[in-house]
Amino acid sequence: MFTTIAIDSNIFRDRDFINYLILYKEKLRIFVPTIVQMEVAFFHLVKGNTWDLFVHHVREFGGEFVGWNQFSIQDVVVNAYNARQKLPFRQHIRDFIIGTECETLGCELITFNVDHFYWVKSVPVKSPDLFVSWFEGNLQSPSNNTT
Amino acid sequence: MIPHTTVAIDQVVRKKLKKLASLLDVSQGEVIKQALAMLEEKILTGKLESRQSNPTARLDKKDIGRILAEATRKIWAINPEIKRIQEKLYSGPETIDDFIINDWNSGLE
Repeated sequence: MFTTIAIDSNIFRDRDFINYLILYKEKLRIFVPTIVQMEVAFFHLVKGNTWDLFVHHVREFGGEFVGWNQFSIQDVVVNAYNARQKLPFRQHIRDFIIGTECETLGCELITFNVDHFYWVKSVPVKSPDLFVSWFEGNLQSPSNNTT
Repeated sequence: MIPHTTVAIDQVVRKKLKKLASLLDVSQGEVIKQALAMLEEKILTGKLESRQSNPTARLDKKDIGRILAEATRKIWAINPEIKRIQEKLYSGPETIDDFIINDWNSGLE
């Protein structure tokens, strides 16, 4: 296992990256934050899929659903309040929920909107490209190569 | 006596250093010290990748695109069911971005 990550909803716009996660799921622990579950599941329903098919899609890359009881709402609100000048509550509350979940679970976040998570201090926030660069580096490192 | 060393910097950096020292009312050495501390924190918290910890980091965009496209090719070859689901999911005008909540219209502000 190389690392534990969580993925933002916008990651699902990149089919190739999702397939990259499927390809290396044995080396990753992947969390799907609460809000992401809702947004992506809704996307599936709009496309004519069922909830079960959405769950199946997430399970393909070994995705684990974060529960609403796994983080503190107070932490979300405090983070939102502290960053309110740059990231207004009503446009960014989803970001605060996702970022707080990542900090609570200790997993790095992969998103196309790295700037929305500048306030996340305790875990890395990476774009998919940066993550792939880092991950490929680990795959090629003899000390980490378990395959 | 604390040993000192000299480093070569260009004019632009020198001006920035001088300006920051003046704004913060500290010595130029203190500005460098604080900048180094900030950089160190970024590396330690993973905000910035260390070349030492990951020497092959920073693949270029083209390489990454190739690696990701190859992932899709492999997965689709292994599992045609995934290909079918994905082709349906990524067809049509709607994208996931259409359903990402960016305005809760909460009335709290």
